[in-house]
Amino acid sequence: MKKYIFASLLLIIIFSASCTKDSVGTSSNEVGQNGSLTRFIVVNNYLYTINNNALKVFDITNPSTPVYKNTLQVGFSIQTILPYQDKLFIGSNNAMYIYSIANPELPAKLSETAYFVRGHDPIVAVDSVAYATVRNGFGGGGVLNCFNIKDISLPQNVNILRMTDPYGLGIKDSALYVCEADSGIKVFNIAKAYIPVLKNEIKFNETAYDVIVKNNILICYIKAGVALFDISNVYLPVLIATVKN
Amino acid sequence: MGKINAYVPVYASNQDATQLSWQNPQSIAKGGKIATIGNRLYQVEEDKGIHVIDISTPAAPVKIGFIKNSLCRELSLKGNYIYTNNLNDLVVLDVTNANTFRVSARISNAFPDLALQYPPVTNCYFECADPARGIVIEWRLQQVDNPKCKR
Repeated sequence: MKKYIFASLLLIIIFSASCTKDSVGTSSNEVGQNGSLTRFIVVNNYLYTINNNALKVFDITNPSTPVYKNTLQVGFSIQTILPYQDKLFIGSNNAMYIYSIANPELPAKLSETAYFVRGHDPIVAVDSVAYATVRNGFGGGGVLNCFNIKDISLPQNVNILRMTDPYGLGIKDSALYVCEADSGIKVFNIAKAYIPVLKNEIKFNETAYDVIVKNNILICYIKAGVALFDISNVYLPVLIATVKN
Repeated sequence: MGKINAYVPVYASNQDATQLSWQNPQSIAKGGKIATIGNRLYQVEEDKGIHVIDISTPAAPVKIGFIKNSLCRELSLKGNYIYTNNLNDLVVLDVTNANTFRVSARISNAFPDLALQYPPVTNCYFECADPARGIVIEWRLQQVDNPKCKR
């Protein structure tokens, strides 16, 4: 396989019926939603942050007053962090790290998977797949990786799709949204989790970087600000508003 | 070398750079990461602050204010609190009351690599940052006579 230069970032999303939580109003313990590009994430009573090489843990049991707990060295060029169940998925320019937060104050490394290690037999299982985008450093495309994470200690990269300029991603039901910068948003059908099928390309004259799925609304971080789509039909996002200037 | 395009630091005093404030809605120039909770949507304005947007009617979002916050890059949310960076400190903003906020906590130097000690790109000339003149809150590309630093 052609050698890639990972000058950019990784993003991951897990596909599971239990991973989307609809929110109405703001209760005192409700956790907000971040885009997939985030480096700060709240999981219950803890704030996890990443910088270039380390993961930090803050106790926010009292949300107004964080208490610093730990710093763990993870790797190099860390880009993104995503919580899933009692795990943290951490993406760097060339690897995906999975940590257990069964002990939330002291995450424990479960696995580290370099990219482009091809797995063997694609297995479709809706609750055990992670999607990750990797963008090349010099404006030359990128890929969408599909990882089988049934065995969390040994993730397998079971499918790789070429992309134009991939950034952040998000999931609603069986739709996977991948931001493609100037090429807009691509919508995949992931009913067969390891075989995403391109259903739609949303080009709307904006540069799309990241998304948050919020009930029937897709909130998109664009270069000029924010765009909102109605995704009542998950494969057919309809632009309903932008916030620019 | 003469006059060439180079990055020049914009300084703020420590007091200015660590002072967060609620302002009227600002234009989005360099929009950044987003986060949402309830009817609120927040978008980072890179290095400048956070746009506060009401999305109770998603088809008609309304910018309701701006939180000035030097070197802002990241944010995450829980209940009525925003966790964000101010310079390289972790700060917590209590947004319980509409149209304002207060800083409820600060942990200094939590994110050392968020400081802007160098320009946003490599392989460029720049005017060396002088800590005695304050904290660098921005780099501007302009014509400089014989810039001394390169990276």
